[in-house]
Amino acid sequence: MTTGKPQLITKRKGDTLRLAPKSDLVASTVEAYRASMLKAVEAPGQAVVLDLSAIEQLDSLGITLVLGLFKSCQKGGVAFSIEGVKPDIVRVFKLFNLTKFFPVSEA
Amino acid sequence: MSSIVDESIISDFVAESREHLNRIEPDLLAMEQGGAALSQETLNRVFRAIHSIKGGAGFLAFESLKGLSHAMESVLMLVRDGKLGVGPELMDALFASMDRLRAMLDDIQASDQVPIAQELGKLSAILEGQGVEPGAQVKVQGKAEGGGKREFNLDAQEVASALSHGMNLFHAKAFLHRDIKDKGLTPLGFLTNALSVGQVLDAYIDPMEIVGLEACLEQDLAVTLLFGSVLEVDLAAMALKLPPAQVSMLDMKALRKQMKPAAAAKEVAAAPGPEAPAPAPETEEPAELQAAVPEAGRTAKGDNGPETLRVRVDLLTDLMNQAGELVLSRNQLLRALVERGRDIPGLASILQNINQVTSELQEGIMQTRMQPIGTVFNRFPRIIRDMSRQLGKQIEVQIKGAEVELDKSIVELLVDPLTHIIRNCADHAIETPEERKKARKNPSGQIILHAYHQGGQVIIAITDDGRGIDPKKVLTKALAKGLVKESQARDMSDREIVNLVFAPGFSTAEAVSDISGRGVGMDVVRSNTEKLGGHVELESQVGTGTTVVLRLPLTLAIIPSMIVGVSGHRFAIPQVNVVEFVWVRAAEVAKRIERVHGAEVLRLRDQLLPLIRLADVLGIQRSYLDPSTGERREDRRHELADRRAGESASVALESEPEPEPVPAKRGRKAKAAQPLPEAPPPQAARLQDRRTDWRSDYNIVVLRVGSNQFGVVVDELYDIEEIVVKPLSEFIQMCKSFSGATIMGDGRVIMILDAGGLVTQAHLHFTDLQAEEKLRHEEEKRKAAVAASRRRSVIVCTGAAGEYFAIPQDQILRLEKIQTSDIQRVGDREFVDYRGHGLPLVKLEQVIAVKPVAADLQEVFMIIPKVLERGTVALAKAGIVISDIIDALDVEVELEAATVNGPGILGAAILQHNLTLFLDPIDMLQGAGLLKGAEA
Repeated sequence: MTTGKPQLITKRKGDTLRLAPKSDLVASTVEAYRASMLKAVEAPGQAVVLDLSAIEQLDSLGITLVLGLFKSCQKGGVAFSIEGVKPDIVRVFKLFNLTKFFPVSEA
Repeated sequence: MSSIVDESIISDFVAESREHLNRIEPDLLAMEQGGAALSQETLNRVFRAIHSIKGGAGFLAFESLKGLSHAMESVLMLVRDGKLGVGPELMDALFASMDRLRAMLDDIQASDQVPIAQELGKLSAILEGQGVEPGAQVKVQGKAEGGGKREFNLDAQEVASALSHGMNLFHAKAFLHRDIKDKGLTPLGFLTNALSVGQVLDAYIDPMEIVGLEACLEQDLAVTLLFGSVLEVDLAAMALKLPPAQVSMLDMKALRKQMKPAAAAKEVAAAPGPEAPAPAPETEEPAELQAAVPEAGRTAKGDNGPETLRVRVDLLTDLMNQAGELVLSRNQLLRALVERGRDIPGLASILQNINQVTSELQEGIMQTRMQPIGTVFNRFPRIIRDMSRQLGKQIEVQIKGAEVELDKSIVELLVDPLTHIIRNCADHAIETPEERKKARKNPSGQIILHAYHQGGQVIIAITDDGRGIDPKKVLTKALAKGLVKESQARDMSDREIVNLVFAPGFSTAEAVSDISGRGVGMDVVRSNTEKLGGHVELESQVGTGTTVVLRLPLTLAIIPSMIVGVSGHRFAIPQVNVVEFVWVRAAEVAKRIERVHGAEVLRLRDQLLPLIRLADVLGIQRSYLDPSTGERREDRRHELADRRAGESASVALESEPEPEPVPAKRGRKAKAAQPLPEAPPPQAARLQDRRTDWRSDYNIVVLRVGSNQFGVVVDELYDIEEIVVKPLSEFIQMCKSFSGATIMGDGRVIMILDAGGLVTQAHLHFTDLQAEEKLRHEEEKRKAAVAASRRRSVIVCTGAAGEYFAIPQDQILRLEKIQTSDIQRVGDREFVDYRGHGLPLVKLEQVIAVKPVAADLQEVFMIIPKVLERGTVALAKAGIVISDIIDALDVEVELEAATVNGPGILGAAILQHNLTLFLDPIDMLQGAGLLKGAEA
């Protein structure tokens, strides 16, 4: 499990915005992440990549947050994808049939 | 913390799927053989197994696994429904697919990387040939709330199968916050629960309900699922832990009708659809139901067999370790309290109870880990089937003793070695049908797998009737590869040579095939078997076949062991290795222990056993307890039969080896007894040789390693105890002499000896001994033959004082005492009156160069030899005079040429310490001119 303070690393490369949360997306952290994500996607560019390589857990709220981010991007016409996902979490996305909405690539 | 997807669900799924595959393998083989006359039950079993694998894989989102099992299921369904015949092509495709499934299960996380295109291709080709498009889908409209915003995408077959199992289909909605998070569940936990009460056919979250990042966390997203269960709607809601309002049942009747022509229909609009395509004739329904019956019967009533419960292996291992600790504690307790038994009333019976319960508990737990060897054996018919097709050979497999049980860990570790042996059998040993016909063998080869118990071990014998292993070829190869030296090779028996195939880096296959023969095979078999505390041997007869025998312990964890002591240290020897104990009394050491090629050997019955001293092998300073002081002192003797310098010279002399003749042996026995304590010389208390003290008796444990036996000399033998094996720490794992450690009842840690390791460590060579033994046997036989020819009964007598003669008894008819005064002289002949006749007498000195019998004797003896007259025994017409008769003896002697010459002398030998001349009386009388002709 990844512990530590919710910290969102944002990187911009060309038109792509890369968001990498440094700890798990769970009930205790989602609020903080939502705030930093909102800030980051004010200027999203052409594409947003959510880098989940540091994430080992994703609970109900975590899923909601990810979907919220996706929805915001979709509204803004920004491509959304998730990368660096641990196999277990990939399975969660697959189980809920979410992979048809956005690409999820494994770590 | 565990990850989101509970690992245990996946591992359960993998374990279950493996079991399914194992269970249906024989069924598939039966399918292949049974052809058209295949039983519906077999087909159903296969179908159900594949179906459950597909279900689980689908739920856990293992896409490849699901895809392939789905394709297999489609094919099997056609076979089951009689729409597709069983042919080799179909079976090959099924078998190949099954292997792929196995491969995927082996590393489930990487299952999507396993290439399945080929297998899928084959299956689709079969399906297309039947006009079925794989993956036909049924669309079921979600009818609740959202009103058909999204359709479930379902496999027609999945729905059909759910229906055929009598399930109802439900549409359920669960809110991520309310129904999942607030109830302390994870999204996956929710699905797991759903799976435990029914079948999750599909699940999704619709992100379209979310507005955006800003308010997302305040929104409660819904997970929608299509759920199949035999429960009614209100119970289903309860089982799913959802409010009843969020669960609704689909219109099952409509769905059932719609599913009928499923095979033909590609897309079917489900639920209230009045526009559903032409309903199938009702008559088809019974067939569908029929298929479901056995399943229902099975799950509801069970098989009448014992009920089983799935338990994690690590839990059992844990229990077994605990039981092991309990056994140790019990031993300690018993030891600590054994003397208090009388002080505390009732303690003895409590202890006895604890003792028994502990033993039973331990036994019971061991039982739980036992698995029939059949779980390994049963996979071989399949392997052989594939190989025989590939190699163009005909091979039959026979399995005996599949029910023999072994510890699970051993069974698992046996898979590789056994597979290797079987592959070798099929690839190298069994000939092609043509070759076999030429050799006048049945064109189809046999491989027999046989497991049985023997002496607390499990024996697995793998026998083939193939071409056998040619020791010459093996030896050539081994020499070429430098596995043996030529000097060693000369002493090796065929059996040993053949066993060289177990040497690392050996392979006799002329061509490397993709089946076996990579040259790493048999040594892996050996090392794996030895790792298990077992042994492997091979016997082969060129032209008739080969048998590989694995000897294995029943379990690895608790083993009865003999506790031995050497120089104050204790060691455990596993009882499976112990053949017997030999106690050699100190006084007998010189007689029972010999040297062959510079090594000590024990003569035990008819066998020569190499002997090692445990202290020497382990590098422990030998010591002994000084009988006078009770102190432990260093033992400086290096061989069992070493003489001690500076001590009683007479003792040393008396124990000197003596010549072999029989009478001498008697003498030695008497002498060996002399130095025993009964009659000690005055200063014996100090001077007495320690070798003859009872404390110097030798305790020899005879151990068996494979077919070889050897003796280990130890100082003390304690008791046989059940010990719990603790693995060796890494630092000392390299020590060959030890296989583990254990904790004794008194708390001390002792090492467990590895019999095989001791052999290696002591550089024992059994071949030398076998050769020596053979030699000795031959020598003994020869001696016995000679002895028989030499054995004679003789009358020992004297002539002049100090001169001894022996005359064969069978040549003597009468022995008469005569008075010297009765002897009459006529010319130079002497006569005596015998039964009214004058019987001429011969004096020895008249015929041979010996001294005359003293003239002053009052009486002498006369020997009348036996002659044959016209076929009947008669008295010779002359007698030989001797002075006295000493003894009648049975002797075995080798006559040497006598220094004295004359007629009638056979030779000379030492009899009872006297040089004795052996005489032939007839010859002698003839020499004296008293008998005519050579009658005897």
